[in-house]
Amino acid sequence: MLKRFLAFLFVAMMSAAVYAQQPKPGTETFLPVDQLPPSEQMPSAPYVIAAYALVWLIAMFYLWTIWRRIGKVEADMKGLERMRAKGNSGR
Amino acid sequence: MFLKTALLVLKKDVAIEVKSYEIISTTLFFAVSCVLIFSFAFVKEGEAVNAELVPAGVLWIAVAFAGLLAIGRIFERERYGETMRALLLAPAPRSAIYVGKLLGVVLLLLLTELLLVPMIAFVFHAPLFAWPLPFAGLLVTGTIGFAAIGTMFASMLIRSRAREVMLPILLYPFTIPVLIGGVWGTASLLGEEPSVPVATMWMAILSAYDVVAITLSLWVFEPLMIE
Amino acid sequence: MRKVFLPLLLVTAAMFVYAPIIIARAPFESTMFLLQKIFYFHVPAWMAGSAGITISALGGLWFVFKGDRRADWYAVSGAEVALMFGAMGLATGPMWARKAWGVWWQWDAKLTIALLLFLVFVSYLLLRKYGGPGSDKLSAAVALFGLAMSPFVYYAVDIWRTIHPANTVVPSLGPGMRGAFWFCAVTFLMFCALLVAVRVRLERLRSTLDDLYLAEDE
Repeated sequence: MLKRFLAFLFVAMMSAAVYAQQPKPGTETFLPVDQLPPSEQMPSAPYVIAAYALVWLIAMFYLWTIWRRIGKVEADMKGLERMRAKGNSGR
Repeated sequence: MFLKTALLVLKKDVAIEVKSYEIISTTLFFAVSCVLIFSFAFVKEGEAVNAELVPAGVLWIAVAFAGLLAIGRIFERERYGETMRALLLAPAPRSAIYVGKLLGVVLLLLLTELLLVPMIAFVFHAPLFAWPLPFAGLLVTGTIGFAAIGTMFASMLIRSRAREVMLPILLYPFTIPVLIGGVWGTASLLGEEPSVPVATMWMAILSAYDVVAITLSLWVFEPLMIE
Repeated sequence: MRKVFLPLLLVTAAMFVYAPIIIARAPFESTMFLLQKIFYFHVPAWMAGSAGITISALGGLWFVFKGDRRADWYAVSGAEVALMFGAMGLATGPMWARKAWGVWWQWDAKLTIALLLFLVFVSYLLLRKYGGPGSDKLSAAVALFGLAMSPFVYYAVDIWRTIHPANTVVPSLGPGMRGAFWFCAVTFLMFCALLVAVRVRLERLRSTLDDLYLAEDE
């Protein structure tokens, strides 16, 4: 059940990343007249994209570590179930 | 045969380490803390190692490392002689134990500083005795801050498994502010334009830190020592 | 708790999808233009981190003073989540600083205390993992000291002369930016709550597993 939730969260975040590509930042908003926006914008973009990417990556990484640990615990539980079933059937 | 045995020992250790990464992660963290400590002691606002910062930095780093050793050993006797339970059974508020240990550590560190200060003043030609009162104030407030946190964590770590490595790991992130205050306060008393108001400001910050640290320690010491 | 989880997850996911749009639509700040938009994830990340630290410290204290084991689950979860958001904050900050200040990092008061706070919670997790018995109570003390340090990150700009933008920025945001900012802040806080819930679930599973092992032994 929990793994399904996590899977959903993964998919939602991935689709957010894809969906967010559509509106291009900077072309549809107010630009001041006294500065030269294109020359200011270009160098900033890599940093903004990198910042955004880092946020996603860190979130994904953390979710992955939780996923892995939950998997381990559930595997241990299944192992215990099997041992118990074996123990019961052995008697 | 010799080499083969050596390599087998190495292989065994690596195999065990890979299971938990305990030594590597704690060592890395300690290394990072060390770099930070040295950077704060010797780099101020981007400029590295100017003349007044060095003796101050060396002094406080020596205090930090000596303090770590002292604090690590402070409960060693209790642990070794198994007298901790006797101490805890005493019909007195538990926090009194904390304050007693704290005073012991502070005394020990102040004695150490009594030796360190002339030595550093001599080796680095630093006019540490030019402003005795502010300097003494900085030493005392900084030492109390360091000791307060250290005693708190050392007492909790008595029964802990990896206590020798845990103490510096827990201690250094909290005591780096003490270090910064001590080093920069002391440095402001050295150099071409010694500034007593700046030193006093750092002393005030250190005092505030001491008050918060001791208050919080007194509050949590009792329930945490009920083991 | 479980009934609330799925709707919360859906709402947060939807907000995350919409966040980049609302950020892109927000007006440019007059000196930083596009670069300023990093602020929309940087500040909420630290807000969520502070929330995590608070959860961790309060959970730890409840565990120490009341003995409720479940509070300890929240303590460790809050700490881990706070560490994650702290990593986000520490990663996005330099991205902005590289262009705004010309350097990736500055040792001013706010950044230094923030980094130290991050290290405090790294040490928290190291203690948890390698400290052995009794480390759950000791880590509560660590979290409490961390909580005591946390307001200084916020007020450092007021107390000391720092290069970091002041606290007056957020209350004085213009209407378009204000909406985007608080939208992102709420999104990150909800994300924090969700992550804590998921992490607590892991602890609960581990606890069940331990009980099962103990039952096996009998």
